[in-house]
Amino acid sequence: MVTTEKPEYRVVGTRPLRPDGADKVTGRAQYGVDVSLPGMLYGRVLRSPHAHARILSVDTSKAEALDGVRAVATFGDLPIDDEETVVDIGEGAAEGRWMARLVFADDKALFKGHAVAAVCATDPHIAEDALELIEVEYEPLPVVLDARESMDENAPLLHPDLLTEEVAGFGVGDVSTARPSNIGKHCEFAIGDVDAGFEEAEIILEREFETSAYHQGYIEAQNGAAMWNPDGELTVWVSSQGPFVVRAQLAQLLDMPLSKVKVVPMEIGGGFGGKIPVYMEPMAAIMSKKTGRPVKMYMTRQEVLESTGPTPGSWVRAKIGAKRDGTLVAADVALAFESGGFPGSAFVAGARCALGPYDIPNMHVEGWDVVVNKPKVAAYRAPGAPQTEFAVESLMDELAGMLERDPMELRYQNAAGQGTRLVDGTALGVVGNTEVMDAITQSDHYRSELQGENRGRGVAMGFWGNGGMETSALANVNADGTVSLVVGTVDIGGLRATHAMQLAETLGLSYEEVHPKVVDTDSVGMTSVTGGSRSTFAGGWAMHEVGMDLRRQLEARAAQIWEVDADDVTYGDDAIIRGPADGGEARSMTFGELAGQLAMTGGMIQGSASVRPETVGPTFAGHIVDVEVDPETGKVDVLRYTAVQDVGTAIHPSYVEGQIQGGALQGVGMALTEEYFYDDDGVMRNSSLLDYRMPTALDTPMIDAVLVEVPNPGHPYGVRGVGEVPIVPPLAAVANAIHDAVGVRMAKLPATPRAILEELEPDA
Amino acid sequence: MAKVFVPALMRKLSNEEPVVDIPGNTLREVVNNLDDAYPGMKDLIIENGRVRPGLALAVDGVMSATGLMAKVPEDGEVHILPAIGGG
Repeated sequence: MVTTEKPEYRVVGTRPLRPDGADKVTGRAQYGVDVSLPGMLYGRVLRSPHAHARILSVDTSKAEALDGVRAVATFGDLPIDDEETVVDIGEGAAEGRWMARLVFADDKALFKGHAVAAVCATDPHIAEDALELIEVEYEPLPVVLDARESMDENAPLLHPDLLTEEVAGFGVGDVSTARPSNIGKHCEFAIGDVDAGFEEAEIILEREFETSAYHQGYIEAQNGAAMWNPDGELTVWVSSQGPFVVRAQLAQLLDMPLSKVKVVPMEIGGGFGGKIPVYMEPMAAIMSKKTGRPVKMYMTRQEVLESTGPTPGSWVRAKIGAKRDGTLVAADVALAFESGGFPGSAFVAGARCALGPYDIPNMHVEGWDVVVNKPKVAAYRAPGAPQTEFAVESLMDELAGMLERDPMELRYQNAAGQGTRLVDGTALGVVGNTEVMDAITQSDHYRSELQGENRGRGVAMGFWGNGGMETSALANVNADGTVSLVVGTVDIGGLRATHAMQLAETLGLSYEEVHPKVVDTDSVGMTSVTGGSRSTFAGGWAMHEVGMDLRRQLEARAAQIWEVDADDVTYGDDAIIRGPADGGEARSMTFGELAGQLAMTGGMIQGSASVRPETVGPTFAGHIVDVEVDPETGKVDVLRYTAVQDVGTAIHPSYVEGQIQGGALQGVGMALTEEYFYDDDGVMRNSSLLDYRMPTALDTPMIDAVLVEVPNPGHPYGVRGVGEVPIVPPLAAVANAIHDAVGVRMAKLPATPRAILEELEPDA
Repeated sequence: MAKVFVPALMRKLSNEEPVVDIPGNTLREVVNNLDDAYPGMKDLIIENGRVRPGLALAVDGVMSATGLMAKVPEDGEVHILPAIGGG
């Protein structure tokens, strides 16, 4: 671990056991599919076999007549509001009209697996049988599966009324008044004078890159159970990344007040951004309303892969201009992201992050969000950034080769730092980009010599901006001196622990004296999603605020007990409350001693906080990877992997290392093995985890995580988000290593054995 | 005077100026004064009296958590950005 100056902490930076660990390793933790309610019905979904088809009719009468079937739901059961309503789902906005048509197809099926109808029955097998009795008349339509083909003016239109919008209404008329097309959105950023920059350049590199769609690969499939009470109150149990954003989506889709919807968060078996949108929860709610009984639904793995949101497949054209001394003077990036059946990919984030690691005076980035006949995409760990930074980091490697420079030295020469303007015009604050680069070049891995035929080493940097958003918390002081902490933050990756640690640090207590609980949407204030690398950051702010609230209340109570002025009482960082001397004798009480007196001196004390901190700290990561390529089979083996990252302050270093290792492994999957493989009809041909090949621990050596700590000055404990950026560098790092090993530049990922052989022997 | 960084796609309204000096002590004042200087800007930023969904205003690099009420320091930087999402 590399650390710049930071305060001495007592709890922060330690590695205690997680509060939910015992339940999870013994199987007692309750996940969504564990929900069991009296009289519960089971729902299944009929999905379109066509990637693009007009739905001429849906006849559910035979299914409804089947013994055991209790209800059927279709698009017509949704109270559709076609006004342009926009729902804040925590990490951007979702448009009501698209959300509804993603839950159920309306008059068109837009991808294979698009939901057409749902059935609930007393038994899941009866529900399954009932699906076969639903008669749907389709008129198959031409399919378009590639972003650039879909942008062609002769491409089949998915939405005849779709007009291109400038993101966030930036447009002043040109694009938004164009004729309907498959381009849902457009964005553009620029600083400096990019044309003049390229005129100044002595070397210009330009190349096109492509990536497949990738699934988040969470092990737990989507699930949800709903109970619509006769009094109009809806309760939903679900594994999601944010019960409050599930509530917001349900309220919009079902036209209900937020206060009538309660969402109970169950434990979650992975999300990575994919468990923010709702899919079956509205169906279960509708069928519960129809039957008066609870309805539970869950997906198969095939449904997960075909019907939930992966990343966009991408096309990126990157161009960089440099002086012969290696100084970057201009960059121009164009990107087209496949958004699936509806607009709304992370193309803006990809655009803004593409050139993040570098200080370039003249930059231009333009992006298009394009609908295609694939599942509507969702967020996935630093959404958009792996695709665009793969392109730029590949060019940086190529530039280093042309200039015969060490690839890290060239990067360091152009590194972004405090005050550097990103392409959106904002200036970076205190960041650890160069510290990460230093840690790479000083690492044993980078300094070691790689020997052997067909072996190569690659490096790449990554940038991600991180998020803030809302978090609420309550903390109750107990008579025995412990604290019960109540949060609405879904625990992914150890958030109960990191929240408890930061509250313990604020109060001067031990970690074991703070007991965190994750509760439902009726029991704590608004808390946004666990995502965007925001939860330990914003949660830490909330813990600090709730802790300081308790400290103030405890000072006041001690003053009341001692009959002194509250201004003369101080709560120390050692959890001892001190007052003015009494007859020459210092007065003090421990936290526990005061807690024991609360009940008889006015009652127990509760602290609360609702925060929306935006002083986020962007993060940089750099990865080193050694590979060996088998020139006969094209197979790539990862020999050694080191991931370096600026983590601000590592609250719980083990969990930070886990995030880095997990992100790096997912990025290796994107680079080498994972792929959505479609036939010409838009049918995914590898919709199982046997054929959609995610890497496992057996496919890589131990990933060595190196933590660089450059504390974020915008956080009481210096936290930066850590969960997303580690997925950014692996794509280019692996591709650059392959180039170093066998001399071929993989501009299209994944670099499967077949793809590598085609590059090695293009004429074969 | 605040320095307002005009997004590339809005520069047709600012005579292609990427950065303009606009007076104002809050984001609301800055946006109103921006619209006075370059008519049409306000409609692109504000909808129904609030910052448009999917858009964010930042003061000195920090996204405003209080919408148009955020204070803008003398010589502060104001950025108009699309909201960004994570996973």
